[in-house]
Amino acid sequence: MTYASLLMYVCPVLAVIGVVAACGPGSGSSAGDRAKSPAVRSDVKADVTCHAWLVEGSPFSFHFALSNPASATAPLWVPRVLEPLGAFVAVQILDGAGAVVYETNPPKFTPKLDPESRDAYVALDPGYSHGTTFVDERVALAPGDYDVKLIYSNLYFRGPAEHPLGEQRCSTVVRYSKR
Amino acid sequence: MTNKEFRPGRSALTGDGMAPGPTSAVGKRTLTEALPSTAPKAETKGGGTAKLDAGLGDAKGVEAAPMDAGGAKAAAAARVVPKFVLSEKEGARSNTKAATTDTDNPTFTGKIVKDGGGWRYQLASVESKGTIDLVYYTADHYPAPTPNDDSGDLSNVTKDNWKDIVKDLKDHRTIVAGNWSSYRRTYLHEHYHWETEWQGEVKKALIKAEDEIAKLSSAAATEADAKAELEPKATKIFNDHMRAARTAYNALPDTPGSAPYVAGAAGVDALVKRVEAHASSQKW
Repeated sequence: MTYASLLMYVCPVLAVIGVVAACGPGSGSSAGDRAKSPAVRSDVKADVTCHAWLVEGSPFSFHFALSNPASATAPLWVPRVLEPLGAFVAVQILDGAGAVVYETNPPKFTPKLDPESRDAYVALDPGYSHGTTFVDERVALAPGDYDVKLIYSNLYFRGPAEHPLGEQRCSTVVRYSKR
Repeated sequence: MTNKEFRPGRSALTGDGMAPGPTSAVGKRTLTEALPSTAPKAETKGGGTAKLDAGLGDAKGVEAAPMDAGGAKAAAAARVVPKFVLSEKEGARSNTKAATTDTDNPTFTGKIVKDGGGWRYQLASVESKGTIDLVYYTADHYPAPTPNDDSGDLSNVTKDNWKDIVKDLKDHRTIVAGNWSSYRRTYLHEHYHWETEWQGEVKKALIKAEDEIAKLSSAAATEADAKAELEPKATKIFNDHMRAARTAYNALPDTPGSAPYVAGAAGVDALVKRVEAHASSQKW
């Protein structure tokens, strides 16, 4: 069983029982989804998995990482710089009723690493990850339980000509209790 | 192997998460409720020209227009001048981290105005906040390292490197910088996002929102009832148009050769002239 097919079966089960686990690629898409709509998914060339941990304290902070599944057969290239917040990594915070109470707006940013250059990427061997800690001072939540959804896209960082990446997407949800 | 080491963070509260799909209902909800819509104290005087009470901040926020007897046309014609509040900061220098322009969702205040036998809703003030984070390269990437405006001594320019500097800077007009950069280019680029692009889209959307809000009317018996009826509608109209403004703003190109890069090129060109003049004066 491939990693993707394993996720196809495991992720829905985990979702139902409320266990949070990393599932990728493609914002929760499954291998089944790709099989049904190959035209839509054909540009997704890499399986990338999102991970996140909320950091205790204020301001609102979280560590976000991309990983190459241990079962992968080749290195995975991801953007070296994942900032600014809201660009490669967007945040949505949902309350207990499922309403979005906060989300980042995509900022305009001027990259210093050329998307066409190898220097703009990190190559992850299978089982390895790459991440950074984000701080969002705009988040102000009332006490309660929330789902924090982190959504990754490689935007226009599609790799140098000799190593095209295609579109990368994944997302993850972390439970958060504000006291 | 070039992967970055995994950092666990200070105190992990929860573990990895599994994502709902991109088409999940929660992912498509809007942020209407996140935009405040408090009504200010305001009054209508004279021919109906809106005047703001103290506490609203900028009393020049409304551009008054002559009001006809009915007041309906005036309600549409009394344009609010949006207030744009920019927080500009200079982050730690970095040769990888990007300079950014962030924009918050615009907010508004409004009021109920008497219009003949009925009521109308009128915007009183609109505010949009933004943040520019100027993240410059380390000083060795600038021909004139101090101060941060390319005006200082060209202390990093030498007989051996000035041609490379000029070439890099010229390339930098339209692509990601090489070894050399211009402070002004970054400044002008980010300010183009804020002043031309964001403010331009908000102003366009605001006119549409005001015109639509001006068409709202109520025959409620009291001002409070009219407010309860009209304010939610006005809020939705405002938020819908501001959302459209953001969509338009996000769609504006920010790739090499696009308008923000062209705007920043003016800073590069000025610095190139300085370097070339310096080399000439040194007879290099």
